Amino acid sequence: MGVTAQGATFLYTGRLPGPAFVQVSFVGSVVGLSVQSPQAEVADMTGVGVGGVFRGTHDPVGHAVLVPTGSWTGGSVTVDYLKKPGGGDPQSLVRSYGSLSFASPSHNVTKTVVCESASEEARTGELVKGSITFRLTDFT
Amino acid sequence: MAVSAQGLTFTFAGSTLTVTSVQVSDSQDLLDATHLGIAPNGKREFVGGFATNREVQIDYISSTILTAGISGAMSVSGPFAISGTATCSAASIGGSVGDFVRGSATFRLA
Repeated sequence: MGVTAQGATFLYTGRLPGPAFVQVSFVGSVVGLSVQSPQAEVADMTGVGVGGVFRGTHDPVGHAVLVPTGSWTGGSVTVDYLKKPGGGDPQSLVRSYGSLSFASPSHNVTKTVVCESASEEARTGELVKGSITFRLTDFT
Repeated sequence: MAVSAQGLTFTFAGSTLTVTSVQVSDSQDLLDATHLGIAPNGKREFVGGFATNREVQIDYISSTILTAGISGAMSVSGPFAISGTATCSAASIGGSVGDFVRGSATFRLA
């Protein structure tokens, strides 16, 4: 049976880079959230001795040797939202870093993130809506 | 308590029509503001969008031909009353053996 994310709470609180402590937080009604998990970083250790296919011959094809380094790269969280009264310019969140949490009856997500980008649009006959992208990080 | 529709009168652009049916309709766009914060089995939230001007649709017995696009003062009085400047958005008229000349028209109130 499928699970629902209804009844979820979303919270992002961060600070702007710099010596002064300037706190920022997200204000909006979240209508969508997607998490792109980080990708494992691998080193290609395939040796030159591994067979290949040459013109006119049928040498055995070798296998690539990919070694995980133990690090990861990438990883992002995209939040789609409806603007709420009192919600400020989403650009003020960009470049901030902090803690993002999404708690629903079915699952929870808590990540340390950097706010990478934000966008907002207003169209006739529609509610003002926006999207914010956070990049996962180990930076604190 | 139920109210009879008898005694209802309709006038448009200075002419009184013998109406056999009057229907008044209103509509309002609603923007869906439902979000993930609403609990399962909860109710959707809506925010008012565009309103559509009131529409009046009539059926009448008369040889008067109404022309779509014509604007004028409209008044409905009797069991209920509405009035205002209206534009005829659609009109039709026809006749059949053994029947009166009948017409119908739709108006949009300003």
